[in-house]
Amino acid sequence: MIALLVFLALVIPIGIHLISRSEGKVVLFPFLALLPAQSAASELHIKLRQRWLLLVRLLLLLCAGALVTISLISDWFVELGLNEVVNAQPPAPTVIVTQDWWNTSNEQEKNALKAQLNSDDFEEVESIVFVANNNKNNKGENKRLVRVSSRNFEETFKDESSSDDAIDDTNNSARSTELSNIWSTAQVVAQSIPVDSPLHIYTSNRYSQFVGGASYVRERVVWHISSIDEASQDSNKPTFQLALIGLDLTKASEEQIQRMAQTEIAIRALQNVYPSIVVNKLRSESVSSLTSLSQQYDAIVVDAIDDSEMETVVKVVQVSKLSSSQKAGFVLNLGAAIFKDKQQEYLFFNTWLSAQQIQNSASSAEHLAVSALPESTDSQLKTYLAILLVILFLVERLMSEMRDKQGYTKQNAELGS
Amino acid sequence: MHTLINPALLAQLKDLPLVAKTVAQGFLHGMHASLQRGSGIEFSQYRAYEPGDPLNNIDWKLFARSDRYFVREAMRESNVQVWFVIDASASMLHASQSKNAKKDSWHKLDYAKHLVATMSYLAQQQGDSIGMLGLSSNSTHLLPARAGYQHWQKCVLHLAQLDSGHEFPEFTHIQQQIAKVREHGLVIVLSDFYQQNNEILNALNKLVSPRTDVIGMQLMSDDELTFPYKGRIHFEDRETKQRLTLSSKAAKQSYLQNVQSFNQTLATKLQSLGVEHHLVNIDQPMDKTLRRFLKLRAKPL
Repeated sequence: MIALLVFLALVIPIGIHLISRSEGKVVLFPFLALLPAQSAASELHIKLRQRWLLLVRLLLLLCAGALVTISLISDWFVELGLNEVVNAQPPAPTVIVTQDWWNTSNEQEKNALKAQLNSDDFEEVESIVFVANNNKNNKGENKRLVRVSSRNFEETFKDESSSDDAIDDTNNSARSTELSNIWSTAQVVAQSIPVDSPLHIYTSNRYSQFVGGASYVRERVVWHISSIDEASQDSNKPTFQLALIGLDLTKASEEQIQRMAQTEIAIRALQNVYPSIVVNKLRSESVSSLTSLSQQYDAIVVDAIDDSEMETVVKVVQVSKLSSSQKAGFVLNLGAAIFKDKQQEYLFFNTWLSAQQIQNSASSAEHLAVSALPESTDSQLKTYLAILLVILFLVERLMSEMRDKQGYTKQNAELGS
Repeated sequence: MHTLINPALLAQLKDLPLVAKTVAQGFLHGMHASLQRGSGIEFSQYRAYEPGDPLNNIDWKLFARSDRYFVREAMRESNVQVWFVIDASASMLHASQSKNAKKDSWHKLDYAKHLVATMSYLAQQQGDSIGMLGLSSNSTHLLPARAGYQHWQKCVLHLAQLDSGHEFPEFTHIQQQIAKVREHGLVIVLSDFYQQNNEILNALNKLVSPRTDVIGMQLMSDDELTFPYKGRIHFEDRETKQRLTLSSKAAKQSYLQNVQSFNQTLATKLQSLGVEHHLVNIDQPMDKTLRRFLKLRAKPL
């Protein structure tokens, strides 16, 4: 239907260029009898005029048509819904459930998942993939995918969470791929399912689920993210663990107290940006070794001691060593220092900067941003089409103006003569 | 005439007599070494007697004084009347409009006026009488034939005042004026010969007589000869105001054939009437046209 409308729209300028015959010059002639009689053929002769202008106008319409078509199709898929698409050519949905979601979600959320899997929409479920941790004590770095049946998924989940002998039904590529985060998991699963199959991902908002590069997942992803509050956390399932080492306030000087207050304010500001940050305040007297602390914490902010062991610690921010200029943008610089690796990953996957530029940029606070999914091809295409549309419109206006100006000049010349 | 002098350029000064003089005096060199001499009243010169000269031409009084034979010569009296008949219809306002044409190129009527001014100057210099008849549907300018420089100036004034009308008048309207032109002499008709009802040829027919030498100068522009138009054009007849819309490319071939046929037919008709036919391109320099015309006639005006 849209194609037909676009085609009809293209016919309009062609018709106009065929029909629109210039009024023609009026030439005073001394003796008309010498001219041949007007022939019907010459009068009805149809010829395309202003071909370049016609081409630009056709391109303009094509671009506009493509833009409208893309928007409409996207909207229809969203608004008219998946149901119609499923009915027309049912793309079976695929469900990814992480063990972390299963372990952290409450009964209500689990029931909702059960109800969804038993609903008519999920009758033809392509597959349910369970992301199981091979070794739970390893913070989930080593994971495997288990394809389960929609009928007995609950039992399988329970078995998986309690046993290491689950049936590994994933393909070879899944086994050979390191499933560092939910992005890579979704990407691996997407390789084995139809292109138009929607992907339902059940995961928690735990920092460790998303940390690392955000891979592009081609399929339409429907997120079901369970929220973890600090109270439900235990030491085995850390979010972003941050240790803030400070002095005993009773022993600290006025200047140190002021600085520690600033640090706390800064970390609270960071928690607004990264809600998964869990801050543990430690007294410097109780910290025997930063190296041992680094096994438990993702980052350590040192505000009280000057320990040479700090170099062996993975991520340490020593507030007292921040320069005065860095202190000016204290919050941002602290965030940049803590999330330097994440920021570099973000820049690597989302920008065209060189490694050196990324290295330099990571130290700059202005690049601090929450990682986001790469822009979809649809919106990219829309942007390009919109730009092209504007350019074509300007060219069309320019050519039209030039044509009119030429016509006007000719008329003037004729009048002058 | 000096080749570097452009008659059109001089004409921009709107000084018609000067242009006419300049052009004409150029022709006088070599072609008109002197006036024709012979029997007459007005003395011209003495010349030595040569065998064969009539004895009554010998000035005996001078022989008595000088003891030598001299023959008395006088300016030959001319009874020739040179008439210029100018077609002042609207079609004579046509000038070249093609890109190659000069911006301020003459139209046919302008060209005819300059040509008449020049030729009449030549004629009056020869002692001939000059008369002029301008014909259009609006008005007729008749200047009786007279001799002399003053009359030539009057002729030029009439030329300047000659305006164009719509069409060439019917013969019945100009019958009286034509009758005055029919005295023996030379009649030069300047026209494009574009006629609706054969009115120009009818007038010519009445002009022709055994005592009259009629010359038809057909004026055409480059546009009419080459048809340089492009694209779809509405052609409007200058006289009838009729319009015809044509594709220039499709019409060109037919038009050129029609023009050729028209010119051939006109030449044939004029020849049958005993009228000498000359095709003049108004976009060519006037001096060249005049030189060619005079050479073709092989005799001074």
